[in-house]
Amino acid sequence: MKTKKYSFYKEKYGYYFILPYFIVFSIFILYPLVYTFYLSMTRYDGFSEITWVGFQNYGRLIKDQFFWKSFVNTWRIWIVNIIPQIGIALLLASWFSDVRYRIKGSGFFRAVFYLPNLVTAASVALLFNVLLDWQHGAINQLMISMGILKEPIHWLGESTLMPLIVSFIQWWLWFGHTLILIMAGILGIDPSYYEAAVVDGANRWQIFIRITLPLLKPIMLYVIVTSLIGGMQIFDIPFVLTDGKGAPASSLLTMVVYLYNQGFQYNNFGYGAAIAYALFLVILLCTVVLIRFYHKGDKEYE
Amino acid sequence: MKKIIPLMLVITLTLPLLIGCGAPTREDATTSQDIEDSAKEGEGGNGEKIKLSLWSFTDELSHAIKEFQKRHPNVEIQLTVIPNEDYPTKIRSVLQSGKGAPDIFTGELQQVKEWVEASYWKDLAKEPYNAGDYLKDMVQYVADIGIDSKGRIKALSWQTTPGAYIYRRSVAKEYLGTDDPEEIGKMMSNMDDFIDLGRTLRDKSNGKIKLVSGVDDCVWIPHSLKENAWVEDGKFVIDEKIVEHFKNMKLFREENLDAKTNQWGPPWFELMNNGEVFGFLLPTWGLHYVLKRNAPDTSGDWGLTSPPAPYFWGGTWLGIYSRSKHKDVAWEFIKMVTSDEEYLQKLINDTGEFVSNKKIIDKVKDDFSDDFLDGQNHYAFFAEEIEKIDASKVTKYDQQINIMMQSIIEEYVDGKIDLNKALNRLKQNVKAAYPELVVD
Repeated sequence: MKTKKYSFYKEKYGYYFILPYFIVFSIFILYPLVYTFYLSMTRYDGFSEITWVGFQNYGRLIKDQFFWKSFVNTWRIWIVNIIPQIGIALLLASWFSDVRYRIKGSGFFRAVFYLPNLVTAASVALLFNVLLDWQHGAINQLMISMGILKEPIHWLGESTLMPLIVSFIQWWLWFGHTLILIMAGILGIDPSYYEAAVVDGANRWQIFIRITLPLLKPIMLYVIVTSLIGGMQIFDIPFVLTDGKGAPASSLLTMVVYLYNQGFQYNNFGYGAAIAYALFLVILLCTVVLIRFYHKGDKEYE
Repeated sequence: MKKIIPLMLVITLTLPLLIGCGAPTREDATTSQDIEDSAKEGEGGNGEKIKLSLWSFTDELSHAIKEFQKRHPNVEIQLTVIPNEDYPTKIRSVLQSGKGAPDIFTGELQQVKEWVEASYWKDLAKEPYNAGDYLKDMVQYVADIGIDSKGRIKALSWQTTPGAYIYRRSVAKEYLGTDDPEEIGKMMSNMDDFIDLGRTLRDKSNGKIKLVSGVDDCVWIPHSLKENAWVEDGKFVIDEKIVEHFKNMKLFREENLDAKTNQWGPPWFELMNNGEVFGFLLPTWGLHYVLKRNAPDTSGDWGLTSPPAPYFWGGTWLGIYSRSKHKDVAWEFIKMVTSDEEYLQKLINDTGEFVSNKKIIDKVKDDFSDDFLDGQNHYAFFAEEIEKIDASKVTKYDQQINIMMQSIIEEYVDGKIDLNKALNRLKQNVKAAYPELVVD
């Protein structure tokens, strides 16, 4: 222990050092958070006076069929994307990290799989918009020249297909990222577990289920939670892919697309703020539930 | 001393953050010519320079700014161009806070309808502006849009944007036997004739030539025909002509009269070059900024005629911020942009812009020709077309409702939903977006 006087100063400087974080946090996170909540209690079109309406916007939200549609759409796009994403990433990670396979150039593949993630989502959406074009798109022309299709398909007008396509784009963009996280997790596992398992005569599948998966839990939790937060806020791809309003038939209307349109296109700032809060609550609840669920499992192990 | 070192460390660590926060907002596209300005400052020497700021969503006004600065060396106008999508949001926030608001700001047709009713644009009808005197020479509909419901003049425009049907002369000659704009115009005097013309072209070319590029090309047609605006007395109305438009577009698709593309996409621009579409429904600016730019090789193969229904599309209005410190200078600028004969003449010569000042239109319309249109005098054509325009049915809701309508039409013509469902879906969309409207 040092002298009392010295430790006093140490504490004080500690506060100075963490001050920048709190300043930035309160300006960019806390203040917007509080202000958005205030806005969600008002009616405001960006031009005229702000009028206080209490919980009216939330009442409207519960009865708004478009909000619920956007809620379902967002979840559907996320779930259809996250399951194959983690599945493929797990499979590839276990291949790449398995010493017995000794896959050549796994570093190269990792880089290639990660590449899509470096492209801006908006440009990817624009690219797919061109690829999927009805009359002149590469996909239709390719399929017609190969004899798979007779008539071009109006992809961008198919309300059942479009959410799947968005999920696919999300999967393609993110599975490389997930792969790297999971690989890092696998490589962090002590090799002696695997050696012991091999000595005990366990096969690959047993090793994967009994050793790799349970020890990957913290990483998986991280992957799922961050993906959930990002997935609930999905905006750029659905927004750029069609008309910015979630066409066809509102099938790409996600919660944030709806929020954007209500706030900045229809000038219902108050209502847009209420949607933002609903989204905030959804994400908060799901994250808490997920973390609880995972920690419950931990205790059983101990 | 010991205390100071950590403190300095904290400060140096914090500083970049603070600087990061206060990073200047984008103010690109400054058109002020530095060399010229500094030269004039030296010779003029009449004290401080007056700095005006102007916000817009296009760089159209840079031409005018150059001219104005030449005439008034002691004034510097800084033009800030903000992309279309962000423009309303950005301008709204500076006007609300009152900090950093521009002296002059522009608005696009549908924004203007909303903004003239707010108090951010100065009323120019009164002394010392007397804008009413200048409105007399302005095309009626252009003047009307800048006037609010109480008769106050809030914004003016230098341009008129009547629409046309711009067609390929070679296609017309091959399949219709003539490329005369008058004759072609007669073949599409109304929507039924237009459809018949499409059928003729389709049959004679074995389905190769389409009448329009896509169903969204016709989006402006019903708006000049309809009797009710989208919103009448706070009530959302679907006019008969809108319903008719839905049916017509379905017929276009079923009878294979459109090329099934959407506006502004790469295939749309491609169609301008490959000659598979007979023509495009484009306004004045569409000729100069869309066709000429995207299909330069086809120059001389285009003709311009009256569309099946008169329409207009877009337009830029400008007004003075009510709390600007330099309203007098700003007014001088707006006066020059909208009514100065010499300047407008120069603008026409340089860019081919179609202006809103009737005196100037009358002066230039008789001997004007455009090589891109095989020497056709489109000025005289547009001068006639503006007489037919009625802008009284534009509301502040139009832009958003039209986007909603367009995607519903796409579904309807694809056969995904029937007419009833389409109209209901439009109503639901409008109700969700604008709860203040009565929708039944």
